[in-house]
Amino acid sequence: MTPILEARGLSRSFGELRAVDRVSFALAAGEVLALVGENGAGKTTLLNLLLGFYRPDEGEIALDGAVRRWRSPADAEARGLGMVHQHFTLVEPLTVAENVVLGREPRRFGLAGPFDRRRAEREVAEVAEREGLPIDPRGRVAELSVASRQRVEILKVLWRGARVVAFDEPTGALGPAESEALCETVRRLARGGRAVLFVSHKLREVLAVASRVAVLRAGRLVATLDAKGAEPERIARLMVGDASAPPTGLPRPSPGGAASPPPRSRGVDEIVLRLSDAACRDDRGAPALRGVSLALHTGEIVGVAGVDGNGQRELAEVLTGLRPLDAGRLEVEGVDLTFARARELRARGVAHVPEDRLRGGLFGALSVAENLALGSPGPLRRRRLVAEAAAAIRAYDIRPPEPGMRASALSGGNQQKLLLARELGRRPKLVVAVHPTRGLDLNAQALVRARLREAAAGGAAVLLVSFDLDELREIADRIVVLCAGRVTGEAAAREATDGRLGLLMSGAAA
Amino acid sequence: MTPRARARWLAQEPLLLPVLAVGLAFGLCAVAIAALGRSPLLAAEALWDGGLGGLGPLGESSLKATALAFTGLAVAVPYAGGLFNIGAQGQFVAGAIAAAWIGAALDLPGPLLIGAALAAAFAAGAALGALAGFLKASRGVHEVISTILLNWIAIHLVDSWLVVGPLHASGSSGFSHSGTEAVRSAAHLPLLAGPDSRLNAGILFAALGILAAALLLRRSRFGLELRALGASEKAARTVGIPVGARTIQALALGGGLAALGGALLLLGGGTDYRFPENYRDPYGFDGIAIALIGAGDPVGVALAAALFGVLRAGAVRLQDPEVGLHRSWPEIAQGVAVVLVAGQRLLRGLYRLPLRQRRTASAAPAPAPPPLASPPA
Repeated sequence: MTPILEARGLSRSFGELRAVDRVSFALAAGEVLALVGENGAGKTTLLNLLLGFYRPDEGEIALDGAVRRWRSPADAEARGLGMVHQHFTLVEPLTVAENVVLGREPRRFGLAGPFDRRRAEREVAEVAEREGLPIDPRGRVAELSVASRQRVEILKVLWRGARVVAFDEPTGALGPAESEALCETVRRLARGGRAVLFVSHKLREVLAVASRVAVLRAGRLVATLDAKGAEPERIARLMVGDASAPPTGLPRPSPGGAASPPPRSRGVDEIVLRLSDAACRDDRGAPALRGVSLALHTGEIVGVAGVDGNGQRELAEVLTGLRPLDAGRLEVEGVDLTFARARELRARGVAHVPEDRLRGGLFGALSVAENLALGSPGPLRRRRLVAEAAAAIRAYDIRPPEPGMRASALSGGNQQKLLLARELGRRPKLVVAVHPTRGLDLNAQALVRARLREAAAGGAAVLLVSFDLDELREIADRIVVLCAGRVTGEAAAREATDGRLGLLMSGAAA
Repeated sequence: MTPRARARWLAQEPLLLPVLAVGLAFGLCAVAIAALGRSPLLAAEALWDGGLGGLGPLGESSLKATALAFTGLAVAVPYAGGLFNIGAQGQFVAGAIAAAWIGAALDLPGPLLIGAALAAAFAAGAALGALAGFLKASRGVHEVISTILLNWIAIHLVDSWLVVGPLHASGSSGFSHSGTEAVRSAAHLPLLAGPDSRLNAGILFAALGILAAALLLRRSRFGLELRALGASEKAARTVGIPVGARTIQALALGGGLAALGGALLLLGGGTDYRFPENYRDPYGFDGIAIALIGAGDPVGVALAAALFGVLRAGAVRLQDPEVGLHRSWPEIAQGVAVVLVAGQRLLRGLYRLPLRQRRTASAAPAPAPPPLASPPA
């Protein structure tokens, strides 16, 4: 059978980063090919290449055996490629039918005539009927549920005659029953002779829907497996990388743990943080944490592992007072702070190194000294401020050493040093760090890890959220795994093998 | 460029653009005036004489500059926190009517009466601003919308109710005024240069206001937190800044400042010491222009208010027969300058300045350029 769509050695770089690296695969009619991989593995970039949103640096795309170069996404669409976007691209005040035909509206009396609403509604109803996606073409999109809106997105692609349909994280916003319905839709599309590309983090769902699974890691296609008989843990291991090839290039702890820091002696095993049965919702109102309990002790670094979007961000926000709890209890050093906001938690010694350092942590338009001053309360004393900034710049080796320089003019590594200086400089009791080494060069990464270790050695409890399992193993004492808003397991760092963590991350062991 | 030089360049850059914009706006107006067959030189001379030529003109200039300085601050201070106060007009009117009321109704010695009138004005403007801030903090109503709408509520409450109703000058003195009763003479701002010039203590209040705003924004924790909020709301939440409270406070302060402008214009005799019927001078709306041209900085606002105050005062002389121009030319120049400041790209292109560099630091994990078409993710 000739494949409908073929990728031949596709590559695309952004600056230094090779987001997609010589990826080749073939997709046949009636097939569902799942693309899985960690965050930043290149899944979305690959889809964007295939659908004409980006142009490849190298390689080619073949449709029905003929090489094509997309001039635009519309070009790809006209040839029968469609994408159901992760974030919907619908116009809320318009009706279902209007959204579906938008940009290609049928007109009366040929091209120049007025919009033929009746024909649009009839055609959309026909496609919906034929594809088993019941919907009222005259309903307003603003009044539809998330699942129905996604149905409109799918109809949009099908009405335009797509033979290849790509889904980018389609179940991210759906509940379990709706996800199941979507999977059925995807299978039906394939049975009807279309080819489907399905991008998802969720391994169970991928195995339920796909015929083959392609695993991307760091832009490369590392394996393609038949879905039948594929084990989640094997896929998870492929996603995070073979244990024999440390992607960070840093010295790894030897199996005996000789390279890892010696176990810290704790005089008193004091509990700093106690989170009990915590539940909260994400920004869209869907449950994000569903009963998480954690206890962190003085001097301890606890790693949080998990596939992106399984509650890590919300956990960090709950602990730092940025997200209210729906249920459960938060205690810091025995004080009930369940209803405390960020200001009070900071005053109690909670430090936060957020995910998005420039927008979420630092103030790009303000100076280094001002960024530091915002970390602690109290009136501003100009002279003291400058002295403190100079001290922090020395202690954290921020370059260039200019207290008056705008934070946005610093390099990424120096921005992170500045953030650490502000957050760790006031001797916190609890440090919540989210992906603190992401995007940094190796030196800066090493420095960040060293600072977190120092904070722990100084008696702080550290919660480290990271996708980098090697990093977690290197500096954490134990690793807890989050999946679907629950703690699915916990392991001492030296016993946490990729396989074990992968299994926990996929939720298969829950 | 060394980092130090670069930091200095960035520090002085904010006022560079407005200066270029104003210069270009004057140039364009001169060309337009010449094209009308009038003399730009005569016009410049008339503006100079009318705005700065003697104590009388200086008095007129300072009255207008004072009002503009406060309405400019009313926009600039909230803007430091990323908030657009478009409500300065309503707040200005509210301040003026409050001062007119207190100045006429209370019988206190001079300084106390002036203080009471200014306090009442500030409270009235701050209440309007705080209402917009509260709507934003509690319900997410955008301050641009709420302050615009509150303008009309304030203006019409004053115009169609207070001025013709409860505060209307009573006919006790035998003949009827339009507008409110004049304030007591104890409420008049002291004249600084004798009875022939309206130069009064208002300009000192303006200087104080500018100084206070500059210190507040640059040296106080409140100012730092406000600028932090303007730089990144998300990061402001991270460091525990109470975003809602700061929003309300910043807009209330802006409202109070605009109201002081209205009160000082009234107590300085700019409207004959009374609130007139159908008052329409757009000092509040001009505040937006002054804040933009002043680059949102108190010192810049002071300079812009002084410049356009002088030009407004001088514009009376543009109507002299030998000049033969309408007095709205300074407003046209102001409008052109605003367009040029807002359209920075155009201005930078004209003067061959570098476009502001976006240093996407190497921090981002995937520094993806914008896709060719609609953003897919």
